[in-house]
Amino acid sequence: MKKTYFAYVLLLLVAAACGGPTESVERQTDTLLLTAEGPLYDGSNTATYTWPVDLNTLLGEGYTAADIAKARITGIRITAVNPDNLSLINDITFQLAGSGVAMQKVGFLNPLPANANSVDLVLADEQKGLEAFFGLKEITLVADLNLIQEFEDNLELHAQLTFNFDLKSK
Amino acid sequence: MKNYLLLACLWVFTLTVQAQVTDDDDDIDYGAVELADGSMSKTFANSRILGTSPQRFVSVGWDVQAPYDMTFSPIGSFAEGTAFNDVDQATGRATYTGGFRLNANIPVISRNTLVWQMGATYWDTRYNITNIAGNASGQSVLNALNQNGIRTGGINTTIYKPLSEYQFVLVQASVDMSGDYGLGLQSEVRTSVAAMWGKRPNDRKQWAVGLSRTYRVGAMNYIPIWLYNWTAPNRKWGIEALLPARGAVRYNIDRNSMILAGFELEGQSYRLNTLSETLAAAGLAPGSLEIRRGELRPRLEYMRQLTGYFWLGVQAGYRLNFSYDADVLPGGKEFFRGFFGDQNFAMLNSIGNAPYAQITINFVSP
Amino acid sequence: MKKTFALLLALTFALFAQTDSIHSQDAEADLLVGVWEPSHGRARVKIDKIADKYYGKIVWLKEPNDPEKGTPKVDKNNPDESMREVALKGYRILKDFTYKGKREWADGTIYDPENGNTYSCVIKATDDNTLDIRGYIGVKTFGRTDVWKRVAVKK
Repeated sequence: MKKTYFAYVLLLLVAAACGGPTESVERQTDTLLLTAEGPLYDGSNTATYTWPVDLNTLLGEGYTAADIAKARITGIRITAVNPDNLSLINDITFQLAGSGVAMQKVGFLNPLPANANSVDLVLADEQKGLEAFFGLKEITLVADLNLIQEFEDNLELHAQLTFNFDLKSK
Repeated sequence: MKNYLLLACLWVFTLTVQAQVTDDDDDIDYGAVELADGSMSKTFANSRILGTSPQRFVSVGWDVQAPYDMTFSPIGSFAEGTAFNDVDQATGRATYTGGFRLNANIPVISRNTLVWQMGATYWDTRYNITNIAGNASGQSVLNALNQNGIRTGGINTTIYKPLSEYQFVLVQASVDMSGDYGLGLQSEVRTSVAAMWGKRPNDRKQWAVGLSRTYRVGAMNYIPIWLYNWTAPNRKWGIEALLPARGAVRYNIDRNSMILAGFELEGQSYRLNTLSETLAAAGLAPGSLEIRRGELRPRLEYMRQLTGYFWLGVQAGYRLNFSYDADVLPGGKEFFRGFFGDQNFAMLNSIGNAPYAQITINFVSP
Repeated sequence: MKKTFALLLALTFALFAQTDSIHSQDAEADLLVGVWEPSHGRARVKIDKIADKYYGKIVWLKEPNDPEKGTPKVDKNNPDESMREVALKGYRILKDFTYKGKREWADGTIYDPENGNTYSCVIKATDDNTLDIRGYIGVKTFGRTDVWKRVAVKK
């Protein structure tokens, strides 16, 4: 009987040691520039940006991907570099992609409100394993845009992402 | 010097040509295109209908019936229409009827131009029959059932071949061995075949007509069949039918669960192996003694997703006896009585109707 | 002079041969890039390369509007309820394919908007204009192959 109790206590201790306390922080990225290279066809087009992940800037000195227990995107704000161009877009779907990690759809807005200068995307409730992206050298941001009409030039969008990180205590 | 200049130019030109990337997709009107190889686009009727209950690749289940009475005649020769009460009876009470069921349907070829599946079936029915009394040969059959139970095992194949965007043919065939056999195989195998031609006017509707050679009514019979699968535009309601074998009205509660209200006709011809041999050896019945078991099962079924592609099925209904009579097949050879044949039965048997339940775990096709 | 000339010539051909080899590998991998029509003919999917993987999105629908609502179709069967208003036009149904050689792309997934299911998927080019797209669950046995044809602008 004593042995059984001892085993339970030992299991609890091991579980507690493995789980470890975490600290939750929210971080916002710089403004990231996504470009869809023109000329663009009316209908579906894609704007991308290759984001070099720098955890030192995002989280602070000395942090690595191994310190992130969980990552969640809590905000995606899109503005057009030329404010008039936002009205060309009917809807946006926003994804993260990267080498060795499955593409994940994290937000969308359908349709975009008329005459908006910037839009906040609706975020996915289910976000699985987003922390894997922060182990990569770079994350590709992919915005699929349905355009209302043709557009001859490059279409440039600014995206600002907000992440919530559960960080393992050091 | 001129040579250097020429070479340098050639070098730069080579690199420049290779660095060029052509991308003329931007001018595409995706609605006005043609197939790149110049062929005509050909569409084939899909075998699936939207909203139907998931197709079961592998199904493992257990079926059980509530207690009922069994009344068997002696082994003899009885004309159709013989009054059952005029016959010397053997009786018993089945306090347990149930067993394990396994079905598998594995795709061999699954393309838009052809679907070919191979499958296997094993259904076991065990009895616990008490209070056995009455005529001796009837008792011997009851005892054989009580002792050995009956089971059916076999292999089957299904071929779905779309002929065009809207037409298809469907062929199903199975070879089954049914009886009270144990580990050893028995020689009598029974073949069922169905062939249908049909139409699939849209993603929510499919129908077909054809002919089948079936044992679902117990004895072998040739029956016209009608396939009808339909889902309402709101995808909440639907019909799944392969008449007369089965039919159900379906209500989709949500994308992970549904209720089906309908019926199934189940049956096979079960050879009582040891008893046949004993009777033959005694010169009493030279042939294969086979119980022509056919039953109608009105039922309600609830299906829900457990996780991923695993679904739970829970069924409850009433098992109505359609046939439990027996024939002696001379030399084991099948004969055709149909609905109008006048061949005599070897046994006139009756079993009571009973509520039943079934639970299955299914690995389904998405 | 002659030696230098020969060296430069050799260098040029060597570079050409090497880059040509790399380009032919890339060209074979990029065979997947283009616009394709599934066998049902009711959608067209544009496959492009993002970073080092291939992705395909719906660029055309024969019936772009929901027959009941009359509005552009959305991903109404998505298991994540929060994403059910995403437009189907532009929807990435093929994701994360990498080239494995021998005209085969694997490690990707295919999404069926009709039922909201995502399957493992492998793509095989049977010729320059034909793809065998096999969606499956668990093992390839439990799957279904659809034939997609490359489409081009009408001349």
